[in-house]
Amino acid sequence: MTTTVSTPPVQEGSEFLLDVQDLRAEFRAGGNRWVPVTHDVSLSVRRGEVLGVVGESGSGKSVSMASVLGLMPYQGGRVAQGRAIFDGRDLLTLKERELRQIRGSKIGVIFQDPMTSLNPVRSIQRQMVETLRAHTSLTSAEAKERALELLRLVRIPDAARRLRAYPHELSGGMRQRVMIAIALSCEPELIIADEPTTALDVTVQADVLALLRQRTRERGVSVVIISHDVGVIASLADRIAVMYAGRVVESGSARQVLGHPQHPYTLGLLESIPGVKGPRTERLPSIPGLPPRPGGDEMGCSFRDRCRFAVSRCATERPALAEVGGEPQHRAACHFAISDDGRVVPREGVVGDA
Amino acid sequence: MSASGERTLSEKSEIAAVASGDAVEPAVVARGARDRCRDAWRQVKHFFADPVAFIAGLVILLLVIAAVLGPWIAPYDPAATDAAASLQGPSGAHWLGTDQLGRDIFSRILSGARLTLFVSVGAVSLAVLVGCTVGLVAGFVRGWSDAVLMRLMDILLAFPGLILAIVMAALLGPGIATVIIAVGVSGTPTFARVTRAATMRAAVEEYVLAARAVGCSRARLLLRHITPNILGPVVVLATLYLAYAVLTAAALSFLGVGVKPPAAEWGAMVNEGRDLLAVGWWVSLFPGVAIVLFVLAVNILGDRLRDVLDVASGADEVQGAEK
Repeated sequence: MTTTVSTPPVQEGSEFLLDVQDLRAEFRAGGNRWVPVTHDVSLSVRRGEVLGVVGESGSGKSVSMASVLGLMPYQGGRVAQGRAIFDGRDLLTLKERELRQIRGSKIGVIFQDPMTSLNPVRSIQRQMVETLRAHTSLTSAEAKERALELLRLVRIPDAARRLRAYPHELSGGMRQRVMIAIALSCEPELIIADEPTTALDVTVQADVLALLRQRTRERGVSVVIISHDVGVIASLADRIAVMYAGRVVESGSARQVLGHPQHPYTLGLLESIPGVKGPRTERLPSIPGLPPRPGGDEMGCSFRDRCRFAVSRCATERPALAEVGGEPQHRAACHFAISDDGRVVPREGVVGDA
Repeated sequence: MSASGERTLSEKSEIAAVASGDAVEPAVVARGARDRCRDAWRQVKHFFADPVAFIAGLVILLLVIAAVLGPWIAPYDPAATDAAASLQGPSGAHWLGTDQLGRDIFSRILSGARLTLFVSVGAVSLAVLVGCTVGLVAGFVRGWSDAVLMRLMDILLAFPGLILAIVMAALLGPGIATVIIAVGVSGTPTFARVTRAATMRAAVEEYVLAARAVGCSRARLLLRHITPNILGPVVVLATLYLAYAVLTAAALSFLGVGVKPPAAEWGAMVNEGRDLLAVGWWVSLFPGVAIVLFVLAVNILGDRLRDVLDVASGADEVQGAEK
């Protein structure tokens, strides 16, 4: 666990609801060897804001969130360093018992696969009532009433009957609504949605996203939405963090990141989205190669092998996540800046050898 | 995570519903408790539609009836000796004959049914209770408690079940409680192993993670979320072990370390007739037949139950589609 000594108490009404700093999660690689899978990840969410975390599989999105929730050891991982200040308290230093009071009540979680994230042998009602009774003083009857209310809130038709159903009797979209209902049930301040729509088909996906957006907006709930799908992120997020190989490579407002991507990886991601309008291109651009394996060399930029702009300097010097000139809060970890017409120029203040 | 290619039936129909512009409505609509009862009844009927399972079920039912009603339907007192009627063959008066002391064998078999059922169910309960507790703790907590508990189980497992039971019975002295403990303990490691494996598999399921994420305590995770999900294999194993328990209990009594005479234990009855085979074959044969019938019936039912409950065999459609 982290060795950070008593973090100074953050005053009430701090700018951020959740402020993750320098998070490093590790996985055991046999014996006593641990391999970092996230490096110095810093993410923050303001109250009422939606943060989208985007990146491909294995980029450390889910692991970061599992760490924050104290759900590590998750698949044998651990948190090696970092802080995660939620509402003035560092989640990473809390005891399991204290964390348990926060999880499900102040922070709601929605998992990727509604097929597997509901217990198959317990009815919807039991699973909803369980959460409610763990965190509120409701009686059993009141909790049932509230569960019914919540199912209606997530637009489940014939809610009374569905409440008594078992997960296998509901469809995927329906189950994910149940998950959203459970996440919302104790009026959380933050909802962490880990690939909430990935396992659903596209029409249901849009539905579920709209529901999530509506129900969180009207309550002023902050959301961290994790996805590999830029489209999902774009439709929901106020701010975006792009992760690659365990690092945040770019962060900023949705407008900044989507409109003026400053990291070649973000650029690649955006270019690989097929457009509906406009002329059809021969071949959809893609990013060549594969992400590096965790535990590889620590030198240089981890994206360099797949980067079309890479120069020799990228192999020796890792670019720091630094503010992009002229744009407040917009950061990117690249030696170069990308102009709007897709050309690269060395960042101000650094001398390129391109 | 499960590939999107493997969609469940309900999801497919959802896609179809969306495509046709209907409201999203799953094919399998949630049903009330009465529907669920009817479903269960249908499944039971389906289960016993197979003649072999039906006959096995019938045998067990008859034995249970015999065990419950034994004292009322038995034509004679199972312990009453009658020197005049010693070693009589099967006849109208004594359907299955009498033993050397003139006791009615049919009455003794009926009385033995109760004893056998009590001992075997008791032994299985003990094995399930201890074995599953050990397995759940070992599989969920892992670490050194896992190592210690499972090595203990391995030591028990290292002895052949019957030998272990004989040693335990010899140590504890004969009696009904002895048989239950001896047979129960010798079955414990098997239950511990199976439960531990099932627990480890269930513990990494996403619904357990999700339950943790809503603030469930570890005890709650184990008892309310994991335990119900591992009951299937335990039930199957318990049924199969029931047959083994009957056999072992009978063997212990046959060897003279089990239930004390004059209790009408089937194994002890077989033993009593052992020296009389030449003059009174019925003394050993009929208790032996009772043992065989019961063990066979329980085994067949356990086997069928496994086909229905075991996830690994893929017989269960719902769970099969998701794994």
